[in-house]
Amino acid sequence: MLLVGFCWPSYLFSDLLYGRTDNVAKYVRTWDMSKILPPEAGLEVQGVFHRYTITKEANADATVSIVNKNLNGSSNLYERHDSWNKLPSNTKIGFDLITPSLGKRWGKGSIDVTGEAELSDVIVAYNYRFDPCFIPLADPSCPDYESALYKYLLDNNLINNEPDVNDPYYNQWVQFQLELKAEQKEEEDKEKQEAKEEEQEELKMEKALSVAGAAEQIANPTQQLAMMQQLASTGTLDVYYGTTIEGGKYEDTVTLEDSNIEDNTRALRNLAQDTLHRTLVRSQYDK
Amino acid sequence: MIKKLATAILLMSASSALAVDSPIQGQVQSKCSVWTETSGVYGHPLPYKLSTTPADGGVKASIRIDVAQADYYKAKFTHPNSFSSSPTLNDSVAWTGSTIVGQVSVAGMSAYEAAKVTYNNVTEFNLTLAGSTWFTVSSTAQYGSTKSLPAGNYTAIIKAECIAK
Repeated sequence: MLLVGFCWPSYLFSDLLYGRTDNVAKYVRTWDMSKILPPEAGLEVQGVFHRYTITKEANADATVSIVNKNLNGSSNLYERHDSWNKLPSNTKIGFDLITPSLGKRWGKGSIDVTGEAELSDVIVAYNYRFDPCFIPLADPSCPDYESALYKYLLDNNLINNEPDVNDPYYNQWVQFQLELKAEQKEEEDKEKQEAKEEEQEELKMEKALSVAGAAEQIANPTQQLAMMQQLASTGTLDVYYGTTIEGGKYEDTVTLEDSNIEDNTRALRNLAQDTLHRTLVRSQYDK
Repeated sequence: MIKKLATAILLMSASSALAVDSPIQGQVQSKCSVWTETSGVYGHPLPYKLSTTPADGGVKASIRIDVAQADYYKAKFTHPNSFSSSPTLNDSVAWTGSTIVGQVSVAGMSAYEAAKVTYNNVTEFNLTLAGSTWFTVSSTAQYGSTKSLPAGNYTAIIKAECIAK
């Protein structure tokens, strides 16, 4: 039963969610990516936006660099170097689309200018995306939630054992157990209902068959004779046969006290209506 | 008999296709596009003056030009020297205006400003790099010597073009 429950096909699917961080360089020129990116598991950085104004002498040399360290190595995960050599001051806007990479790999970020120049109105922001169902157990609406939960319970030997209350998926386990119980109860109720209906059907059939037998017996002449004999023989008619009426004259017991009897007008009206009705009906045939 | 008939039909059809015009089709899409990012607004700081300068209560127009192929196009901006619609004016209007490089997507585009060519009310930029460039256009109109402008709505047009070199 448990396995059947987990084999239900799941038609749910999750979409990637996209977002952009706030301006990480609003007040500082270096930042820690672990404090910038949302904590969602499986989050990937897929673009870097920048905007800055450089102020310098047109004939001076300067380079603006935007860099992100690779947390797992010494190299840079992202770097951009804008050369402003012999160029006048200006405001630059840019967006670098990059191959999506896990946010956990992104280390310290920075924007710097080398040479005789100053930066102002700096904006650096990271575009990211993540799958809200990267961990299927995160949300019951995620596809593969059931199988992930089953695997988790199986791996932790919790199928028939209650996990510790501190277990991160204790609530999910409780929910799962409740659903399982509800499902079992529903199945039991259904079976009971079916058995009851079947029993009632059988009783109806028996009753119908018994009535049919009685009718057959009543129609049988031998049975009829036996019934008559039974009625006559056991004094069933004695009450009627045994009553004696004395002879003599029986006077009327009804006495009319009034000498004038009023006509029953209601009866007369009914009779008049009857006559009218009869006339109407007859008129259809007497044409 | 059937074979002969088939051959005859084949010969007829072959003879009707001795020459054909076979077209070659192609589609050209410009690799330069012009977008108005911010429409200009005239402020009215003085009775006789309309100006897009923010200090005068106006808004300068911002026009972006995207170039996909470097060094094949030039940008040409014509700031207004007449109103496209306005109340009836009985006196002359003195026009001034300018176009500058506002923002760039590549640092090297910053050099466009120094290399621009200006004549009459026209400013031209040589788009030598691929990417987006934001141009800021300002415009000022002064009526008569210092005569009050008639009340009503005033509209002037900036012409921004991307021209193949």
